[in-house]
Amino acid sequence: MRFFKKNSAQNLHIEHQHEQLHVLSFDLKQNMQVLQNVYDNCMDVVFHSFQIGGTTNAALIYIDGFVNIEELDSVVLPSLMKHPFSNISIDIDRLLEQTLTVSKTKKIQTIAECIEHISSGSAVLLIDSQNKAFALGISKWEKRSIEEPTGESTIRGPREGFTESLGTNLSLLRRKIKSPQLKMKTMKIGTYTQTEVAISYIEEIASPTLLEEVEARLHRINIDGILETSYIEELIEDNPYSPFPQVLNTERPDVVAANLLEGRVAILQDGTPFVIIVPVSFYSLLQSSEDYYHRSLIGTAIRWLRYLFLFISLLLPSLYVAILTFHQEMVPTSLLFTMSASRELIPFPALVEALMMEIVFEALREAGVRLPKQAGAAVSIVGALVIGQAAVQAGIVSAPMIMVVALTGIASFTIPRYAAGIALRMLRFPMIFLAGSLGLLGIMLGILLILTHMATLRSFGVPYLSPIAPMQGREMKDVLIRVPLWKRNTRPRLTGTKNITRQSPEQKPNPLDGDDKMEKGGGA
Amino acid sequence: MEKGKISAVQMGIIMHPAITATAILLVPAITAHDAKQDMWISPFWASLVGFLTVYIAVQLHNRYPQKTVIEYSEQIVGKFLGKIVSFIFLFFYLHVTGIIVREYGEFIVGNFFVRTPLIFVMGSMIFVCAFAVRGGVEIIGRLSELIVPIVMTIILFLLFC
Repeated sequence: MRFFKKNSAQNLHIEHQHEQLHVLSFDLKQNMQVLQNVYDNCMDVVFHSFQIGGTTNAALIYIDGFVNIEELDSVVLPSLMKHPFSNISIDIDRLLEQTLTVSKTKKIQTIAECIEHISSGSAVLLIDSQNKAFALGISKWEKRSIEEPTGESTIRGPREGFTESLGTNLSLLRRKIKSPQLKMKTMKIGTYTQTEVAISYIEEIASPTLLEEVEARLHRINIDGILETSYIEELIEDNPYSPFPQVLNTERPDVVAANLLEGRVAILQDGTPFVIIVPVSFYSLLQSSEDYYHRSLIGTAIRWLRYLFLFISLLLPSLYVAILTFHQEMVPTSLLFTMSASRELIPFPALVEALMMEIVFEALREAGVRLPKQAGAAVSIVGALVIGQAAVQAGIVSAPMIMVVALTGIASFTIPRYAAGIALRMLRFPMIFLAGSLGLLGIMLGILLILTHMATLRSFGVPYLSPIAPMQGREMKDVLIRVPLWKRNTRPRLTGTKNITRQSPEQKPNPLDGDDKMEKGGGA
Repeated sequence: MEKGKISAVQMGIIMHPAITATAILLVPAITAHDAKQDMWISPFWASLVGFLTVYIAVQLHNRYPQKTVIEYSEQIVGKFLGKIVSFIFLFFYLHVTGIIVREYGEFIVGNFFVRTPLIFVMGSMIFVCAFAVRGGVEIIGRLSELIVPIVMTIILFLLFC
């Protein structure tokens, strides 16, 4: 495996050097020949020969469906073909300044550059007896329009989501943060896919060491192709074996903007609407953008509800199994009677019952995600029967178990980040085993192991459980409560130390401070 | 040796549960045996010893800053005796850890898992502890910050409700 990797890397290097050597020659035919050899068997590449001003041979090379053909035919070609050039040797700079009606042009000099520009959607203009070429940036391809992100819907808040086009995404971000302090650096990752990846940050807020680290980790990636930001995520995260996500992924521009304003760094990739944000702590995975759009009291209440359901989603089935198997004395007597009555005819121990139902629930969830929309209704009906009255009547599971599973299922979906929710859902299974074998002691051991693991995690130098462990009293304002905006005067200390002040203090709205126009106006 | 750094608060929080467990599980039974209804006075007397210990520790630290007990004990009582003192200290920690684990095991087995072998209860806890130690002292500090407040809240809740 190792040998393979080294070998291919070497090959690439040689290939790259080889291409660099090919500076464009003065002979148009030779240039065309080289490019035609490169694009051998690529039927989507168009080589269009024509004459500038009826005298000078020239050629346009582009990929069909990647450039704006209408613009090429109606604007670029006529302006070149009808241009009255008298002599053969064209002043190339004059051509650029006076004739080409394309604003995004670039002069290029090597074959490698030609290939790069053709591949990224430019039309390359080669001219006879010139060792330079033009890349005309008239790319245009089919893309999805901006839609509401389905994975992170909110009741209040912007309804736009990122799309698969990097250019659109960057413009969406720029529309949120208009300051020139918003920087975007691009790079290419993937030997074959040549995917454009952008690192976005706010110069005055993001710490330079974080930025260096992100760039270093991205530069270390040497892979044949990346198709989704999850590829990048897996290649740059701190602990690759952890079930917990160590980056935040989102398709909402407002979430990215909010995180950039707190000094984090966003990584965008062409071809996917998902943007990853680093560094991240576990608590930020439990926050939804909507917490900030609601009133602060409501936001706080929702946050606590989420913490409660976080524990339920991880622990409820295992608690049920443990109490039913080992600690019956903890259940109120009357409830114990009904529970034992419902379990009387069930042939399985609680552990098996719980595992069975949880696995069925996970299967239904997975099927619900994968199935085509037309079949979705069928699955939900069958699912309701499987996890429902029919299962109880068939004598396979007990009624309280159904409730536990259903509640756990709902609880796991209250976690706003899917990646965090699924990590806890998967950890539920070892917890059920521990509960079935060791009772409450097993649950405690399991919780301690999970907490220890989470305490060891770091995301780009930020402890995963911060700001609770290590404790930072002031940062509790965004964990235990959601402080009112007029009190959120500082940025989080772990990422925003470079520029800690967020806003001017003392902004608490107080109508008595100002003139009492409002009151008078109301009276009149 | 891994070079983790923990804050003073973290250090305090780490030490707290080690004392609390013994104080809640073992000490009341022993003192109640002799003191009976006057047991409530015993913590006041006991705390005097505690304050003396802390006073000595602080004074020693002020006199030999940036040094560990093992380092300055050699300076105070000489090389040979110092080595013996250091050995006693290290042995003491081992001993105390053993006592705490045993306390825990006896408590669990005595109250809940009557038929479970002691070695299993203690072994599983030691495994979890080893997992935390592998992460280093920073991890233990963070874990204490996370867990101790919750445990203290529960204890206070039980005391006053």
